[in-house]
Amino acid sequence: MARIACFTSFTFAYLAKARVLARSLRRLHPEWSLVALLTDHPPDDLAADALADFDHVVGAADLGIPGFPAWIFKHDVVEACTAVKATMLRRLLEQGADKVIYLDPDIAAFAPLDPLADRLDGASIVLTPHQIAPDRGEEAVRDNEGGSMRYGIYNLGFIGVRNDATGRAFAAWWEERLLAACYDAPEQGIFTDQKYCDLVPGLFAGVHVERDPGCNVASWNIAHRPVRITPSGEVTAGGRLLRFYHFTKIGPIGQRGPGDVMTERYAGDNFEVHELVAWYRREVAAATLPAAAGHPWHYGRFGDGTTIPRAARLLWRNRADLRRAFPDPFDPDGLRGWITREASGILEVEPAA
Amino acid sequence: MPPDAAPTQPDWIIWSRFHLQPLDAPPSAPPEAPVMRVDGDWVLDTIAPAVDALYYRAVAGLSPDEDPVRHFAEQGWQAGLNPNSWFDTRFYLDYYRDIADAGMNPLFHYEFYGRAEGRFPARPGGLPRHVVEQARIPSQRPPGWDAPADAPPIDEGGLRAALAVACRGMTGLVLAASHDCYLNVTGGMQILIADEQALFNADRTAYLHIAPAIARFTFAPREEEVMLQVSLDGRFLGLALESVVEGVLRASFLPMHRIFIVHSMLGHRAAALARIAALLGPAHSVFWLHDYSALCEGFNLLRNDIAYCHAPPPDSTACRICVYGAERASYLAAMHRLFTEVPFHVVAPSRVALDLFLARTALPFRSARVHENAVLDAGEAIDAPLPGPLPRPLPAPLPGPPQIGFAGFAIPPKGWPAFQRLLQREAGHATYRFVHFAAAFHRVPMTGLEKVDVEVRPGDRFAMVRAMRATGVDLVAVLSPWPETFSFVAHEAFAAGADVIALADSGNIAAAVRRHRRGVVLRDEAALVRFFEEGWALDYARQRAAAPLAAPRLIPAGTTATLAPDRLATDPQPRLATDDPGLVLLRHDGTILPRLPGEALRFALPPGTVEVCLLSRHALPAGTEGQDATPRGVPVATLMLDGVQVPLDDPRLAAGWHPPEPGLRWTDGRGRVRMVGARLLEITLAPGTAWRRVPLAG
Repeated sequence: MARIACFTSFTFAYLAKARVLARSLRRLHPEWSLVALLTDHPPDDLAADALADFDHVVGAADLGIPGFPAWIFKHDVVEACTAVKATMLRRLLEQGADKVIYLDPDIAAFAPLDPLADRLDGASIVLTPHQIAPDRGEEAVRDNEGGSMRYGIYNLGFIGVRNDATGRAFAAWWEERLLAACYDAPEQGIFTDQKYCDLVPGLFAGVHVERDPGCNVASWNIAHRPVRITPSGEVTAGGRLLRFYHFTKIGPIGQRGPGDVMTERYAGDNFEVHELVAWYRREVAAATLPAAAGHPWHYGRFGDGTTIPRAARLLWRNRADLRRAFPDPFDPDGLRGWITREASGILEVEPAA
Repeated sequence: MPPDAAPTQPDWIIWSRFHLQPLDAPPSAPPEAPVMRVDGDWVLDTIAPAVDALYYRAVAGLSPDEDPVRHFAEQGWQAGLNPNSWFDTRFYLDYYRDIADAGMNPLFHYEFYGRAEGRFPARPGGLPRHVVEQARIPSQRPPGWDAPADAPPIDEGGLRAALAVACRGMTGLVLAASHDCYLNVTGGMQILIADEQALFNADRTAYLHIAPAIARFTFAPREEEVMLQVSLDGRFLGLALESVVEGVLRASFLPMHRIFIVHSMLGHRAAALARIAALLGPAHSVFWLHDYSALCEGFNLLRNDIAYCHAPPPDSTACRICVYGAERASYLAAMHRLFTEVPFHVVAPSRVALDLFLARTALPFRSARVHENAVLDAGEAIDAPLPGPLPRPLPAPLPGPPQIGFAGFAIPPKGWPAFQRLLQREAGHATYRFVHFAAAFHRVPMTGLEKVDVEVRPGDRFAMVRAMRATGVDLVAVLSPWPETFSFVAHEAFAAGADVIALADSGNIAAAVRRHRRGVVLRDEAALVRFFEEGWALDYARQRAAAPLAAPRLIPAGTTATLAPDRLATDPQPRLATDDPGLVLLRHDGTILPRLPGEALRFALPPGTVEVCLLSRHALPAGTEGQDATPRGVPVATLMLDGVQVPLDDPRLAAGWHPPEPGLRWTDGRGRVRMVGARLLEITLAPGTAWRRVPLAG
C-alpha cells in the first residue's frame, strides 16, 4: 500500500479548524499519516492532547529554512503559512512518502479521497481549479472567474504530489519560488503560493486537473455544484459524491465572515449548503480550545509583545540595508527601535494578523 | 378512470383523485401590469416597476382609487409592508443598517443601487436556512420545566395510598409513560392517552401515568434521577422521583394483570424505565410508534429540522452533519438496551410508520403491528350536524374562489414554510382563498390569510372537523415534509368533507389520500407551487364541485385498550388482523366508545335515543361473508335493553343484520338497533373472531 502523507499548515489560532480537518480525515483514512505544520509557538497552557489528532507535528522553524527569523518576518500570517508548504512537501517526499497531499485547515472531508490519491498513480501532480464551469452574470464573473484570474486558477487549498522525478522537481521549483516571494501582491502577479501554480501545467508533465465537482467545493463554485443529500445518507455536489468542502472564511457561530457573504450569495436556496456550514460551525466550536483560540501569532509581535504592522514587514522585505543592519528583526531594540526613530508613523497601524 | 391509469398526468403529480389539466385563472383578476411611470418624481418612477400593484393592494388593503406606488413610498415601507412577493422590506432595513440609518426608502435603494451592488432583496435561503441555523443538538437544548408551577410533591406513602384506593376492585393495572402530562397538554397523542385511560378504567383497570417534569428532546442524563409528573386514573397527583414510583410497584396489593405502555421516551431515562418495567412485571409491554424516536432522537426524521432524511445508517454522512446525528449512536445504544430488557410489542398507527420502522430498526421486539388511532367510516353516516358552536370568524360561504386550508401549528414539521411560500406567491391574486384553522395563540398573521379559531380539546375533539365543514374548505394542505405516522389533521379534513393536498414523503398523509381517494399527492414543494400557479388546483376544485362525496365519519378508536393485548403474542396475522372489532355506538349526535371486547359491552344512552348503529370493523377471514357477499361485522351473542334480553330475531334489530344463526347473529358492520326509549344497551359477542384492521384499505 502506498504511504500517503497528508499535511496542513496553520497557526494556533486556527487549531480548532485543523482539528476538524484531521478528525474528518482520520475517520475516512486511518491509514494516512497526518502531519500538522505549525508556523507558531504553542500557548503555555495548551492541553497536552491538543494536537493528538495528528500523527506528527512539525514546527516551521525546524524545517531548515535558512535565516528563518529574518525570512519569516517578511510575511504576514497567511503568507507565512503558505510560504512553508513547499518546504514541507519536499521534506515529506525526502522522508519517503509515496504520495503527499496538502489540505488547507479550513477544509473538511466528507467522503474518501481515494479517487484523488489514485490519480497520483498515473499523474505526478493533481490540482483542483476554482471553477470547472463558466459563470454567468457580471457579479459572478467578477467574483469567481475574476478572482481566479487575479489570485490563481487552481485553489491551493489542495494539491497532490507523487514521489517521482516530476513530483520532486515540482516541489523544488515551488519551494524556491515561495522562499523567494510568497506574498499577497497581485499587483506583482503574485498571490502567496497559489498564483505560481498557474504555471504548473505548462512547466511540468503529468499534471492532472481534477474536474470532479465533489472536490474542493466552496463558495466560489457552489452555484454550479448544487449540494444534495440522498435517502441513503450520502452528500453530493454537482451530482457527484461530496469529497471535501472548503469552508473559506466562514465566521464562527453568531458571526458572519466574508465567506458567509459569498456562500449566501451563491448557495441561494440550496439549504443543504447551509446545513454543511452550520455543521462546520458546530464542529469548530466543539474543537476550540480557549488557550489556542485567542493565542496571538508568535511571529506577529516583536520580542516585547508589540504587534508588527504590515508596513514594517514591507519595509523589511524591501530594504536590504535594514536586513543587514538588524539580523534579528524581532529584537525590540533593533528594527523596532530604528522604526520608532525613523518611521514611527507605521507603528500606529495595526497589522492584519 | 382511475387516476393511476392516466398516462398524461405530469410526473410531479404522484396521485390525484381526478385526471387534471391546468386551467387559466378566472378573468376577473387581471394582473395590473407594472408601468413605467413618468411622475417626474425620481423615487416614484424608480420603484414603480417593482411594486406589484395587485399584491400590494391586498397587502396594504388599498381601495381601487389609491395609488399603490405612492402609498408604498409615503407609508408602506415605513410600516414594514412588502411591495411584492420577492422584496422583504424589513429584512433589507435590518440587514443593511446603512440604508436604515439613512432613512432611505429600501426599495428605491435596491432598485437604484442595491441590485447592481449585489445586495439581497430578501434573506438568502429564506425560512429553511433560518431553521437550519436554529437547529441544536438535542442534549444541548435548554430543558424546560413542564409541570404545573404549584404541583405538589408526592412521597412513596402518598402514592402507595392513592394507588391502593385506585386498585380496589380492579383486575388490572396499566403503567404508561409519555413525554408530557396528557391532562395538562392538548394534542393528538394526549387525547389518545386520555381515551386509553378511560377505556382501561372502564375495563376495571387502573391507569398510572408518568411524564418527566422537565421536558427534553432526548433521554434524560443517565446520572440524574428524573422527577416525574404522576397521574392516576385521569387525576394529576403531583411530582415524584423515579425511585418513589419504583417503590410503590413493590406493593402486594397491585392487580395481577399489568400492562406497561411507552407512548414516548423523551425526557425519561431508558435504564429507569427498564427498571420500572421489571418491577411492574407486566403481562405485556407496548411501545407505540407515534413518531420515529425508536430510530433517532430526531423523532420526525427531519435532518437539521428541515428535510426528511429517510433514516439513513447512523454512520452516514447525512447523520454526521445533522444535529441529531451527533448523539444518535449512543441514543440508539440506550434504546437497544431498553428493548433488550423489555420485550415490547411494537404498535404503529399506520402501515407506513410500521414499514419504515421495520426497514430501519435493529431493535429486538416481540411483535409489530398496525393499530390505527382512528378510522374513517364511509357511507351512510348519520348526517346531523356535529354538536358544538360554529367557529368564529366564519368565512363567507361559497361560491367563490377555491378555499385552501392549513390546519394547526404554523411550524416547519407541519409544512408551514411550504404553505407560507405558496401564500406569498398567491396572496396578491384572487385566484384562491387561504384559510388557517388554528387556536388563536397559534395563528401567524399573514396577508391574504383568513383565520378561523379552532381549539381541539378532549371534551371537544371534533372542533376542527366542525370548523372545516362549516367553512366549506375545498382542499386542506397537509404539507408535513416527513412521513407522519398517522396525522389527525388529514383525517379531520376528510371527515369535514375536504380533500387533502399531500407531499410524496408525508407518510400516512399521502397513504391516506390514496386509500380514501380524497385528494392529490404532489412530488415536492416545487410541484405544490406549480399545482397552484399553473391552475391545476383550479381544475381540481372544479371537478371536485361536480363530483361531491359524502363526508365520512371519524371514529377515534386506536389505543392500547382497544388492542386486546392479551392476544398480542399469539395473533397469527399481526399485520392484517386484530382482536379489536373497533365497535362503537353511533348516535345521531356522536360516538360512544365501548369497553374492551370479549365481554359484556355496556352503553348508557341519553334520554330520547330512538335508534343507534353498532358500527364495527369487518370480520376475518373474508370467506365468512354470507352468500350475498354482505360482509360480517360482529357476532352478537346476547343483546339486552334496560336489562331485558332481546331475542336475536326481534324487529328492533332493524337493519344491517344477517339472519340469526344458532346462538348468535352477525351484523354487517353497521347493525341498527331501535331503542324505543331504552337507556341501557348491553351486548356480548361470541368469541373467537378476528377483524380486518384497516377497514377502508380496500
